[in-house]
Formats: sequence, C-alpha cells, structure tokens
Amino acid sequence: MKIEVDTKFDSKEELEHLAVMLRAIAGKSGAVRVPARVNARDAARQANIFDDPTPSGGLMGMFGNSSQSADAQPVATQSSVSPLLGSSASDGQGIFSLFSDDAVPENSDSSEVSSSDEGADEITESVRLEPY
Amino acid sequence: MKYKFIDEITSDVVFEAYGSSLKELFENSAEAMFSMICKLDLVEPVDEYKIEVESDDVEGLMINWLQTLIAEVDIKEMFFSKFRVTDITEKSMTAFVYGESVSKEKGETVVKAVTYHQFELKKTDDGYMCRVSLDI
Repeated sequence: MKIEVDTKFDSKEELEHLAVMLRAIAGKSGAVRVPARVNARDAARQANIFDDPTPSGGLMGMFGNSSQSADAQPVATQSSVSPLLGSSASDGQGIFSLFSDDAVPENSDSSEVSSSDEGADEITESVRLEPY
Repeated sequence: MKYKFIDEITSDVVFEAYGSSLKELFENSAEAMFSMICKLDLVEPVDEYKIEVESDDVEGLMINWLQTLIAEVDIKEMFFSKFRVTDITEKSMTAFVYGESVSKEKGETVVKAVTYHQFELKKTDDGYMCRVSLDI
C-alpha cells in the first residue's frame, strides 16, 4: 500500500486515521486474527471417537461388527469369521474377543461355550482359505 | 432501535447508535458504520479478529474503535458484519469482529475517517446514545 500525506490539505481526522493505520501496519495495535475454531458439533464428534467404549461405536467401531453391518451382510457373517477369533460375528465382539477378559478356557463346562466350539468346528470345515 | 442515519450530505454521513449498555452501544455503532461500508447481510462472518483499543475517555475510545475498524478495512482488506465486545471500561475495550475478505460485489461506500464533527456520546434514560459523523 502506498500512502500519500498532504499535511496542508488533509483534515485532522484523516491524519489521525492515518496514524491509526500506521500503528496497525507496524503491529503496535489493530486486529489480530484468531485461528479458526472447530465448531462445537465437530468437536463433540471428534471427542466421541475416543469416549465411546463399545466396539460398535466410536473409533473402535471400525473394527467391530455392529448390528447394522451384520444385517447388511447376513450371509457373510457365518463363513467369514475365522475360528481364530474365537467368537461369531453376531456376538458383537469380533476381533476384540482376542483381548477380552471374559475369554473362556477350552475346558470350560459351560454349555454355551461348548456349543460355540462346535460352531467353530463347523466353520473351520466350511471355510477354505485361498491365497491372494 | 439499534441505530439510525441522521444526515447525509456530500462528504459526511451522520448516524446515531443506541445501546442499553456501553458494550451494546459499541457493537451497534460498528454495525451502523459497516452498514455504510458494505452490504452487511451478504458479508459472512468467516474470519475472526481480536481488537484491543485504549483511550483517555469513553468518547475517545469510541472514535479509536471505529477508526481501528476502518483502518482494518484498508490493511487487512476485510469487511466485518458481526461485532462482539467482550470487555469494556471507559478507557479500554476488547472485542472480536467477524467478517470476510473485501469484494466489489459486497462493497458500498468508502469511509475515509470518523470525524469529530457533531460527535456526541451520552447516557440516556434507556442506556447510551452516540452520534457519529463519517467522512466519505
């Protein structure tokens, strides 16, 4: 910006305005830009990906098998789950069951677990892993 | 009523701004001035700036506030449409102003300076009133 001053012609107010401008240009006063803020809704959404402890929600949801995704691919759920993961997709745990504290020992007497083991054997038989 | 324009002659525009508090008066005065400078309703408050102003008295504070805003139009090339005074005393103030880059379509009148001609700031029954003359 080029500034021309005529001390005879310019009014007192214009000179004062010029003084304000020069101070602002010199960084002695004037407006300071505030960095853009994340709006409250975005901030809440970002916070939730860490706050939500359920496998089906938040950041962990990208690994979990939510009921929605299970509904979307009902056929794939049975055959696509490896017995290595230890649980079916429909129980909503998926890969997280590997780390679960509730993991049941192999020799458990629980009927639920034994039926689950049977299911796993069936799956093992029906799934053939193809190399890429 | 937030503000009204009183007089418009060739080189001066005079407005009166009102407010129930000093804070509101300063916000409304800035809004009145920028309604001359640009098309207020078209200017999006996308960028935020913090402004701190000081003076010896409240009248000087108002003039400095408005002059600082005019200077920012030239320096930062910004139009402002939203004004939020956060702290104010009779000698100093802090405000946040919001606007966007200058564009021809959104511009109205070039305001050169705030003048002392007809300037008045007083307390009224309803709060405060200020009369400001702009050199255009």
